[in-house]
Amino acid sequence: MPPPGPAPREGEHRIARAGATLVVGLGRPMGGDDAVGLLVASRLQEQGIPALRVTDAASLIELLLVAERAIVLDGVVGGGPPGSIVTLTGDEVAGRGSAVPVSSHALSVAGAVAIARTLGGAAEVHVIGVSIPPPSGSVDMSVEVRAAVEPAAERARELFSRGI
Amino acid sequence: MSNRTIEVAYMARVEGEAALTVRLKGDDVVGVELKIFEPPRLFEAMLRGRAATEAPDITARICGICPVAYQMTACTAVEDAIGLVVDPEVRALRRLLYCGEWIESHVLHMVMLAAPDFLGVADVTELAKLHPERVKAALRIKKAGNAIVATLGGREIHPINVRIGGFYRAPRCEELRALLPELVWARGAAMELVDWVTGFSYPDVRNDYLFVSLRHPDEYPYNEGHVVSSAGLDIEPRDYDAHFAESHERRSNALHTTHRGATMFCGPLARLALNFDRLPPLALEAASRAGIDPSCRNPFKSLLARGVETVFALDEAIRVIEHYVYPARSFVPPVWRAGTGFGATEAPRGILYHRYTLSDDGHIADAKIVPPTSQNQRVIEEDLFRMGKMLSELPMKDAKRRAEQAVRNYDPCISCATHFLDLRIERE
Repeated sequence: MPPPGPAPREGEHRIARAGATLVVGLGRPMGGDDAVGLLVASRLQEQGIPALRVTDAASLIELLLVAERAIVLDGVVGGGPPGSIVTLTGDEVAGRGSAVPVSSHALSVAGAVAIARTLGGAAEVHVIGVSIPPPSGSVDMSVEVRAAVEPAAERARELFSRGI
Repeated sequence: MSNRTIEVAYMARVEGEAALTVRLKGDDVVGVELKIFEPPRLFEAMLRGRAATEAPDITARICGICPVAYQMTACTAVEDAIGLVVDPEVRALRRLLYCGEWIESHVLHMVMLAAPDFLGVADVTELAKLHPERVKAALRIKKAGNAIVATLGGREIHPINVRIGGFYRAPRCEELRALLPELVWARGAAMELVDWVTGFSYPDVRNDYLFVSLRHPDEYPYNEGHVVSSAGLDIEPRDYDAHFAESHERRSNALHTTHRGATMFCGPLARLALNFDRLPPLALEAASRAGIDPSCRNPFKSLLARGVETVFALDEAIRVIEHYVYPARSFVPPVWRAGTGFGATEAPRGILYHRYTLSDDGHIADAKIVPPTSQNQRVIEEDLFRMGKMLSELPMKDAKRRAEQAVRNYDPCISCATHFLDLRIERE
């Protein structure tokens, strides 16, 4: 008899069972501004929204495969002055994920969304990105990016409450 | 001859700096610059003055994807400094934890990065269209590794259950046994993955490398063993600094490691070559089916070594769980004293070395961290030099792809700081 399948991640049962919206922050712990996605997710957790946190885009693929709808929180470069907030749809994001990264540590959100969609997941995705400067190696988050955590969380709450 | 510069931008989560430039003059590569920014250097300074008990958790944050390697090496080095020997059950659990990280890392690399190169498709999204079941199987195997890390580490991202002397909490037998059905499935699926990648077409390359890895008297290495080389080196980790030196190259933020001036090669291919006789029967069968043995010096066949090690890690995880006995204690309490400790473990990408000098109250006076990517940086550049003729004969687009593939053989941990590689090939 085949095994029942992989053990679910924290929160997956809820997402799969209830058809709930996946809310997930992506970032690098102690990565300075690049940790902003994790921080926004933590803020949402404090407010009772069951946001998950992952540090690599491959884990994001797995989550997107069990979610019909997802809100992804991440730092983005090129989204305007540091601290600006941009919201991208899955179509807008997936089109940017065509390259093969040089390292398995470098899979992108765009690639994750594109792969998950190819495999039949993540029909509706919104990426809330906080604009960050190119990484400097600092482990400290800049004032501008930190100030964007609450507005980004507010944007996520708004989408979440609309049931996207 | 006209000069040509081509840039390939890798969109990742965030952008970094240009990382690789290859300059061609006719059939010769006249310049290679691989720029890697290394966050461990920042962490060495950050660790000074901190309690040694914090070292596993602080260093785990160097890399969000390989936290286990940093945690295991930090524990090993701190415990060496104070003469702490962990209990056998804890030792087994640490092997299990490392199995989880190898499974995650290797399978991700094999399918998400290497397979598109070898099959000539644009990326893993295209691969998922052509081979959806392979990609789904790979994600499921990876998840089996994730489950080990989550169960033992307390959670999947920066595990919190690891401590000096052992674990804060030992898992119950039934918690680990619950992982077995999926691990057994994954072991079979990994063997199929090996068969699949064995069918790929590999460039005909054979280079003379100085392989370096850990070697344990009885086991395929994870947390213990001597540092050995294909040239006969056999030293304890505490002698690492006497044999391996780091130098700074002006073009790069990273330090380049050499063994007495010679370029070294660490990671799956080196590990396999130097520990082939430590592989259990199933992994040997995988190696046989892959047609790889200790004589292999083709860096592109690192993919096959990863496949064999994935089978090994799954097999080893199952073995550890089947023999697991709930321990009388989950950790040995540290008794602090002044001293210097050394630790070397086998991260998925190769040897990770930590050295800590502690004060008598258990605070860190000095720290040194040498990641595998630093040790492989020179050999990556030299591989590209050796590929001059091959690159010059290829159309620019294919030459770029092949150069990228050569870097990917080592799966360098670039994105710890720079998630973005800009590749330039300049032709004079």
